[in-house]
Amino acid sequence: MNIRVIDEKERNLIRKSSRQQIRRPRRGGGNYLIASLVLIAILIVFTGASLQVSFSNEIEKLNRTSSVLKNKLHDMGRELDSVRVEEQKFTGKYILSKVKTLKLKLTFPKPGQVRKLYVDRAVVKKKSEFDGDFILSLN
Amino acid sequence: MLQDSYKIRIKVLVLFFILFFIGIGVRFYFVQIKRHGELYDKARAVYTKTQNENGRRGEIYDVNGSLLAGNVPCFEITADPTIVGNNKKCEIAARIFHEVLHVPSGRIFQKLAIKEKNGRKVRYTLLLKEVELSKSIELRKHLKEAHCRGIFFKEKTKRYYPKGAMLAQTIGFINIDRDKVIPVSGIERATNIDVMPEKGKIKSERDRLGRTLSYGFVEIDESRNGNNVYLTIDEQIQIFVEHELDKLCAKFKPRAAYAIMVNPWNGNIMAMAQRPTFNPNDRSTMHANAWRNRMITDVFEPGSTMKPVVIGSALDYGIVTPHMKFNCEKGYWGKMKLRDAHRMGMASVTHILAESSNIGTAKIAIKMGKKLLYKTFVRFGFSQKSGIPLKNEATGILRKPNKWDYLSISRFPIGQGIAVSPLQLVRAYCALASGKLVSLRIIDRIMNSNTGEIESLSYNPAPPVFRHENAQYQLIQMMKLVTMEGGTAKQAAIPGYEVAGKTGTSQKWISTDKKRGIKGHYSEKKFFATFVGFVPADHPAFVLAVITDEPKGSHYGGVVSAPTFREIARKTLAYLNIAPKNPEQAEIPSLDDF
Repeated sequence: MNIRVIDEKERNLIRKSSRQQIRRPRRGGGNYLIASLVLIAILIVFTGASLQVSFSNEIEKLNRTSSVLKNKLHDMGRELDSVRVEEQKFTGKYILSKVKTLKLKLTFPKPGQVRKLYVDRAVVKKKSEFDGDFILSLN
Repeated sequence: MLQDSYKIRIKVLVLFFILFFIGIGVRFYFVQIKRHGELYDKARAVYTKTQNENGRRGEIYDVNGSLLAGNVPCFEITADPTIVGNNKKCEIAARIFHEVLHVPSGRIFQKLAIKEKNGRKVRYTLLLKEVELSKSIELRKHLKEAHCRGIFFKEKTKRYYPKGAMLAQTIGFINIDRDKVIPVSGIERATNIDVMPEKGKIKSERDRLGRTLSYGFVEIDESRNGNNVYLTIDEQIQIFVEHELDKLCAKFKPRAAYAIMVNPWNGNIMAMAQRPTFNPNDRSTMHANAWRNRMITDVFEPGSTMKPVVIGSALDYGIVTPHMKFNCEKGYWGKMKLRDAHRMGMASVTHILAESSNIGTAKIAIKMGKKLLYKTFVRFGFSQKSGIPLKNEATGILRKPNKWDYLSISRFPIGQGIAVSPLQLVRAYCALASGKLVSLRIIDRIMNSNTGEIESLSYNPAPPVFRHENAQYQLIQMMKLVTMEGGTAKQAAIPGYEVAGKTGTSQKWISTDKKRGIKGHYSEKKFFATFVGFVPADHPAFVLAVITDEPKGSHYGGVVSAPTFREIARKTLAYLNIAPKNPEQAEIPSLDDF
């Protein structure tokens, strides 16, 4: 019979190591998982945050561009207003004076010579649904 | 023992924290709940930017949409002298102002160089107002190139009248007191409630530099543009009228002259012009006597132009017939102290009107009686407002029959002792022409410039003035004779068309002036020369009155005002495409005389 003598100290070490051997892989795997989850969460949060910052930045840039364009449009609108009013100077009397200056031998039309053309809007609306033709009527 | 001391310490610490958090909680309650509104407003005021938005004043157009009064964009230039910098910088800026706008550079420099006043920093100075848009853009560009800072361009608009002096009294004008608009006269004043814009505000969250944050809050209280007003005036006809009035003024040099054209069927005023006039864009031409709208505020004795009204009513009531004869006393009626320009004996009613006999008309009026005569004046709209919304309209002078004296019944029918406004006279002739007393209209429609909705202003009911259509027909036939051979206004005749009308030559009343020792009397030198008529006589396209105040050279309505009537009428007839009765006689007016 082969008898192995183990003293108490050695036995305790064996027990401890065997216990550690059993627990170690379990404890180490859980930490890794948690750490991974935390890391992923942090990554998601950071990615989300940086995306939001980048989108906000982009939105802000676009808004700045749009406000610049809006200002340009506004300025152009004012210029157009100015031109529109200016243009009104060159009607009626101005045209008649130009007729004289340019010695255009123009006369009033003979009564009955002029016929007013008008667009019958109701008919146009109805007609345009089919072929888009304009109806001109003699008044 | 040791454990107990720890326990006490822990308890003290816990208590401290509890109290601390209770304190914070209480503080939070006061800050977040109790004073929430107050503190929120304070904070919001710091990071909120408020921009005021001014709507645009409504524009005024003629009936066809030609602009008569509009708004021109411009700039107000201000500066913060503390930002502009030292004198050298100020000098550079002032030189640029001089080069671009031709303003004295010294004046600009002076304004920019004053950095302190009464020991306080000057942070604001107004450099120029109402600077043209194109010039402002150029100026801003030059200032930017020269790195001039502290000069600001504030967007503004100014009222502008692109047609200048045309229709000036009727459109009127506005004054600006700081940012407040004060309408002074004309349509500008009458329609101020409609054309006035509503101010708006834009509140937004701003960053440290004052830029609007796109993700911040925005509160928009939108401004509203004023409504656009469309008049019944036709610009083209107005040009004819103004042009002919200028020619009349050049020839007869009157104190004033006016012409009004009205559609007798609906009361629409197609044109109204007055001399002297002014250019509302140039304040130096704006003398009070020029901008007062005399056609509305002034009254005058209409003279013989009153006769058709009286004779028409007498025909309508069956008191006279066109062939009934009256003794015209060979030109002088001693009993009533009346004279005629053309001496006539027995004359028919038709001749009385054609020859404009004072004596004959007075006798017809005496036959009508006081009450009926007064009723006639009222029925034709005298002593009443004409219906247009312009302010300060005169209603004229018409005494009630109980206040008439012995001579009144012979004087009122010949247009003496009674005062009417030019508008009232035209309205009465509209009644003769169409048979209805129309209310005059000068505003055709109002357009909401924000929504495009159009509100057409209604026509007031026009009561008939003739009980019998035949009376009106007979009167018109008689009035045609006035412009024919033998009538007093041959010069008003238009070849190819039949014109019905009446001349008027009334002496001006000189009021009593005790200081100068002048007793009230009719002047022998000062007259109103008038012609009022309508054409084509049987179905008129318009009624036109030409009134000349104190013409020189001649004072007869048939000589002074009738030719102007003819010229305006023939151009207008051609423009309106009105066919002549006798096409072979009709003349086509030339455009050469513009």
